[in-house]
Amino acid sequence: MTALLLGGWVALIFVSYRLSVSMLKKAGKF
Amino acid sequence: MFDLQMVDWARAQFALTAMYHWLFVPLTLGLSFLCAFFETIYVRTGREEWKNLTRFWMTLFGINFAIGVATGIILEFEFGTNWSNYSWMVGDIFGAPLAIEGIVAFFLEATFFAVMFFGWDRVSKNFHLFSTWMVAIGSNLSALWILVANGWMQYPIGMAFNPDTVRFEMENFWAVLFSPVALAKFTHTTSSSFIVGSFFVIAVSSWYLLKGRHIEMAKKSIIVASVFGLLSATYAAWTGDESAYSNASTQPMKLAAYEGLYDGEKNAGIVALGVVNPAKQPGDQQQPFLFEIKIPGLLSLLANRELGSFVPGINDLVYGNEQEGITSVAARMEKGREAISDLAAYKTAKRAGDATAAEISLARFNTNRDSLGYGYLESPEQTVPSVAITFYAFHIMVFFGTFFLLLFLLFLIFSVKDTLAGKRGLLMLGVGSFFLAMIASQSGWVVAEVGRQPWAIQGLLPVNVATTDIGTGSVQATFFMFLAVFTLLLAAEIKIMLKQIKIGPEGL
Repeated sequence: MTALLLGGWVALIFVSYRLSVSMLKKAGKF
Repeated sequence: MFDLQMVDWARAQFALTAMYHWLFVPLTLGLSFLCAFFETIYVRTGREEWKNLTRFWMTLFGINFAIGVATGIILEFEFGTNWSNYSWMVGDIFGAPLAIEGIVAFFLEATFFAVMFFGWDRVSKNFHLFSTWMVAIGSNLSALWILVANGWMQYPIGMAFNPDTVRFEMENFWAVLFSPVALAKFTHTTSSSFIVGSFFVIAVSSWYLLKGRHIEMAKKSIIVASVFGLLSATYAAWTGDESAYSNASTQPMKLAAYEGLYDGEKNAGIVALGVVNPAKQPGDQQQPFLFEIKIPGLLSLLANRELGSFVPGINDLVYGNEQEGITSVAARMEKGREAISDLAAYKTAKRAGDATAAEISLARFNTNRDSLGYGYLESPEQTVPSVAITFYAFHIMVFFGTFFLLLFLLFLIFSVKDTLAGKRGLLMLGVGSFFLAMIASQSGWVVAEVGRQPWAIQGLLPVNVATTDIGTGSVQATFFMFLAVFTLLLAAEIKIMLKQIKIGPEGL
């Protein structure tokens, strides 16, 4: 569970960035 | 020997400082990553508008960062001034993560903070971006070490008691660092801070959209913040569940208090909405709630991951439950008092050079050592924290946390569709959302800290023996002094922040 929690935390940061970029592109605001 | 009133004032002062500190910290933790996202997009696209947007949010980040540091330093000093017995008994363990936080994490963020702020035209684009990411990672590493220290107070592991010095000494640093409670606390606290940071960006941007100013910047900011907020709120729900699950095994009294569960039961339900009966006391026959809406069976599932399992209530934990193997507090208090007297006998024998008597006393002490802290309690009911405060704080946190998921989703959908500017009601809610997020975040800490009373360290050291033996007057005086200083600092921050927001990104 420890690895899952910490892995999830790191993934949260990077997925947030990646998804932000794709949403900005989708909205034509990148 | 110990002045109970001193305990109350010392607790009040620490709570005051911590709650003021927590007005600034979550914004630092959340906004630092958002600034890193914004600047990464600037470096990738090379577009000036992203640079202006980044510099604007970074300016607000900087204003907030400075005051967060000021209140945090005072907190660390209070361990020495008001809680010196605590510092004496557990300083070996508790001091380590605090020292690492200062030397490693804070120095890291402070060094790169200077580059981030003053290095725009002095270092390369990539090095500046690296600095911004280091500030975000450093800030969150600071939080990690502080939360490891707090997690250890809630679930003390990795240490041994030294009867010669009457101190707890660290035996396993990694057990302290990777404690399941500490990690659940770190992941839940930081992700809830990401929610606060995201709502700050949404609140300011919503205000711009309502005023018809900086429209493009506001729309871009909202898209990034609502993605970060939505994912963070989802993650916070998971880590919050993990925190409650760890409470069930490490702090069952805290769980029983914030669920308002007096009589343990199999297939225990959760009171989703309720009004606590203020007259209810442990052991009496009154109803715990004046009004309640209950979801059957859910608490057993969440607390033990097993439907139909037994969840102990306040009465089981105070008065014992033989069937479930729960020892009463009164029995542990008896053992604790024996441990205190055996420890005193051991020290007397050691001083007198009587090795045999010392050995016998130490052996007797060791049989009751785990109940030592209970020997300082005055009554079994003292182990029950305020049910009303923890119940309401917990439910406010959970209610808002769930509401935030929906709010982030709405902001994301309408900002990507570019129809947000016309939705004035939602934008006004967006402006207010930051304050709701602050209330939810503070409520979480109220649950964590009020819920572990009367223990400074869970099961080992009650607050009434953790304090410094000084007069109440000096703590009272500094309480009101801090109250005035912190309020001035907060007023100054709000004034500078609002001025900068009114100027907007063009004034940079």
